[in-house]
Amino acid sequence: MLPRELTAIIEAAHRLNPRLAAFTSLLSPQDVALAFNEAPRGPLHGVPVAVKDVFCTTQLPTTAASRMLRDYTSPFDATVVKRLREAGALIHGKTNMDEFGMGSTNLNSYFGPALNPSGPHLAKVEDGEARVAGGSSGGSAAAVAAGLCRIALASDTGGSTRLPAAYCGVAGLKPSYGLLSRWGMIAYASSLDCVGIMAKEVGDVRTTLDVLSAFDEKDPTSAPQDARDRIAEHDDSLSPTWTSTNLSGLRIGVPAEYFLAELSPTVMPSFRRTLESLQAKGAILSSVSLPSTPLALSAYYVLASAEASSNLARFDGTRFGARAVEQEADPATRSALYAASRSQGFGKEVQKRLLLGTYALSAEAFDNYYLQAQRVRQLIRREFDSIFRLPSPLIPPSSSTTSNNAGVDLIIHPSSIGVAPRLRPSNTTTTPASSIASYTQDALNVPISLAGLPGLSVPAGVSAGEEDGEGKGWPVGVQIAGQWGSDKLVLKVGEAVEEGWR
Amino acid sequence: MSRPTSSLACTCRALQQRVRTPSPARTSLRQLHSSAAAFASSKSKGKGKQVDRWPGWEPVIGLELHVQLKGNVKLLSPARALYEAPPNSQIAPFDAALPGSLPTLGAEPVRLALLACLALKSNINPASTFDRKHYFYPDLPAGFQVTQKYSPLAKGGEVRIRSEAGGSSRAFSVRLDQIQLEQDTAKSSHDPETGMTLIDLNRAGAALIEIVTEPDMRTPEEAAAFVRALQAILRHVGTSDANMDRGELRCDVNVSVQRTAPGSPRGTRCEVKNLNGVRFLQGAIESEIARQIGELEAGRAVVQATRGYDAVTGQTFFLRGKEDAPDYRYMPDPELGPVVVSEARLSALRQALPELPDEAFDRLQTQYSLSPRDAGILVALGERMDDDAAEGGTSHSQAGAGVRFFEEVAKGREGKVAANWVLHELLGQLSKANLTLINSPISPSELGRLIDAVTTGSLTGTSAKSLLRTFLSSPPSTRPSLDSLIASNATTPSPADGSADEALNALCADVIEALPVEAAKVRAGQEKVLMRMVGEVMKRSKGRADAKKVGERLKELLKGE
Repeated sequence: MLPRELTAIIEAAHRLNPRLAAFTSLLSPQDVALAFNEAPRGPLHGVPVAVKDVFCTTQLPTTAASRMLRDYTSPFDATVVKRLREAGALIHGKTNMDEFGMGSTNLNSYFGPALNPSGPHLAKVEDGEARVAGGSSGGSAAAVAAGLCRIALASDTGGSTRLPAAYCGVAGLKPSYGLLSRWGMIAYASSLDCVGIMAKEVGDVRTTLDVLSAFDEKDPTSAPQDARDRIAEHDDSLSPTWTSTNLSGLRIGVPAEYFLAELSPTVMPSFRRTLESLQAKGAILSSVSLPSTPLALSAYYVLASAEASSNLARFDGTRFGARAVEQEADPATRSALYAASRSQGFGKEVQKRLLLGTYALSAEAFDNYYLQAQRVRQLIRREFDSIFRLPSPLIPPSSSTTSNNAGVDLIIHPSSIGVAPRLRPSNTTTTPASSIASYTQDALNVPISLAGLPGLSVPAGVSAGEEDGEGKGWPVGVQIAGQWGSDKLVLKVGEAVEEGWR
Repeated sequence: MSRPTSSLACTCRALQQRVRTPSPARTSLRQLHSSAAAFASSKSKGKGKQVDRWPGWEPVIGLELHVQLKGNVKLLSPARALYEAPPNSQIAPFDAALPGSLPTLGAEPVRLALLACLALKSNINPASTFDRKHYFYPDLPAGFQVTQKYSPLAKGGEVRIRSEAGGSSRAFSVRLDQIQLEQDTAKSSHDPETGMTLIDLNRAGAALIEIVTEPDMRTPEEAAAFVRALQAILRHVGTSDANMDRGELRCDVNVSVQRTAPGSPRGTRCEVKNLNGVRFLQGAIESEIARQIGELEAGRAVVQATRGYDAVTGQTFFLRGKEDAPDYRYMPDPELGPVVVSEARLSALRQALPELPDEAFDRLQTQYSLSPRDAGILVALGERMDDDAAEGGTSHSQAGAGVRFFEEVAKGREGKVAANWVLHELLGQLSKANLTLINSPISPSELGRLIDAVTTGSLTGTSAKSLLRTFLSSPPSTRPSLDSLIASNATTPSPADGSADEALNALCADVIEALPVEAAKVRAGQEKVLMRMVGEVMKRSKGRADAKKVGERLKELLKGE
């Protein structure tokens, strides 16, 4: 017998999924019961965990929400999935997403968009009130917000965990790059991809992070043990007296460049209240400048698309995945088979980014696009290093290593430029989900991704609403980010924000 | 165009008659000779007169070689590209580019590649990086090949060749441009019955090093000599078995021709791909040179192109032109970190590196005054020189075996004499007995004692040689000890040799004096005791005296008193 709470969650997932489209596949209650009986008594024993459909699992299909992989089942479990199972977690479903992680709205899914369950009223698609769950990990955010799982694995390349977490009003952590193993996570942009964690409460995110964070020899980008040891030293060197109620002496920077013209005034009241509550707990606020921020978005799209065009070249219809049927592809020419398979298997957004990335890597464009974007990335990294109090634990300390005593411990800013956009834009809506404007939703998230830093979006209230009442009562998130390896501190301050609001 | 008899061929034939070597190491005679020739100096014969094969034209040849590393290790996965395994049985998730799989750089391929870099005198990059080369092809599962374009494992390097290659008495060096690590592709084959392409992923991701030479070769024979020298080096340090017919060494060649007149511009080059044997390489170059000269002499231009080689017709054929050259969209690999090689690691590898054939070749000449040819043969002994590997890959390189054997024999002896015995007597006799140096029943120290017996005159050269033959041809079970054979064959100093005669007299007189009791007994007619005195003389002569003669001499002396 399953505990009543677990049974209720599994039942709700099956019942509500046809409407929310949070899951691409669900384990039957019988299979969940079976898994429960065999689950090890670890720190997540019996906890229902939803896993984004970008992680390889042997038990359910792994589709990346793409037609290309709709029938694909992986022969191996991702390392993070394996660690979840070993901790006793029950992986009862795979969550919906933008195809291969490309999108900010979850509209680019072969399975249709995941709906945002967190509005002021139960929104219906038909009446135009329905809002997107965000992307690319929309299904994970929706599942957590609707109580269809307690914890969800997400992924984050340029905001894909933090943005949907903000839209759906849940906590979403993009850990420091390299902390969690990427083995078994279908790559979008390898140098940016991170395993994300979502839960309603920051405490569950921390428990999950502890379960998942370990060096993995199967992942060449896994942070080595010596860097992990230095993280522990840094944690000890920071004031151990900081708690979610006492942040005395903690220095938090507010980056001026993050307050874009596009930033919706509806999110500002919640953000200001958050700053006040942190100040009340002893945190010292200051303004910091990250002048390269405006360059980040274009650099991100060049690099992410370039890496995607490389990583997704394997989907050619010959070994796995969808293959174009014979009459549509002339079998005499291999390239025709590839072209037909890829044209049919990939959605429009994926095709757009693969073309962009392919161009960025072409001989004529490489210097002006790819290399230029790499330079911007270096610039952004150096800027972050210059504002933080502690140096990056990734770099072995040398005689020249000094801490920047005037630096900040963390930065804070709104997670998104507005609340969740409508699924189907009405005439009055200023942020149609499918327009070019959706790319600017990432503007606040990509700098942290480019620098490989930890970022947490944590709920900070609901929107005040515009003058016409549009968008009132939808979740607002704030993002807390820090130096590489400061994940624990980020979570601690996240808990303080959480308490300040509730 | 008539092909001159090459002095290489002459050398081979000459050696063939004298040296019959092969082999449990299954080095075929032809292979040994070609390698010996590759090491042999150009000093002696065939000097000067080079037949003008391409009047007015000079070919310029550069090579691009792919070397599969020993043990068929894969570069980025734990699987092995086992040659004999059933298709698609040696695949890690990464080899099939399964979604979610990631690369892990193996330690072994890096070690083997670094050994090659050291042996080829290439400058090792302290932090080389990986790049992805993109193209779509069924044998390339990921849609890209991991290689090292922007910052390769090593830059520069050189292979010296002392070949009397193909009528050219030119001793030359081939400079290397760079050495890089990269992944092999899968194997695809066409199934004519179904019209399908069949893919075997066993080889997918196997570790390769790519070696790119400068265009330093001038004839097909020079290119062949370079490839053989490279094979010898790679085998010697254990980087690769480098068998061309097994695909362990693959070769693309760039050929251009230019006017011999001073200041003539470089010709347009064409690349001929996928040459899987030295004779195909030579054939392709020969054909390509003739074709390009033909074009130019007919007033047409050579068009830059990639070509194939048809071994049946012996002709190259057009594959694709420059305008069809793909844009590989190289990108720094976003997953793999740099290959960091510390100075400490390099010096440890240097220590482990066996003496290179080239170095041994030089040292044997200076230290022992050997002729280049003798040095060349000694160096080549134990190296596997087969590029056909018809023996099924069971053989193992015994790098430096010939040099080691020789040096033990030469210890405290005249180097040239030792070399003569090893090369001209021992190898021939071993070969007749179907043996090799590696499993020779006669040890270097035994051979040394045999040589000493000849040097001191207790054995004639002729009897030493026949003794050696007897020794090697007797079955192991009944084989007498070499020392006893030497003793029983030792001659007393010949009567013609007065001084030797006197020496024997003196020895016998000494023994009579030393054994007065025995002497008295013999005088008293106890003939049996004589044998004890003969024994003592033999002992003092270190077995060199003729026992029968000693007995007679003792009798004479005892009676004469």
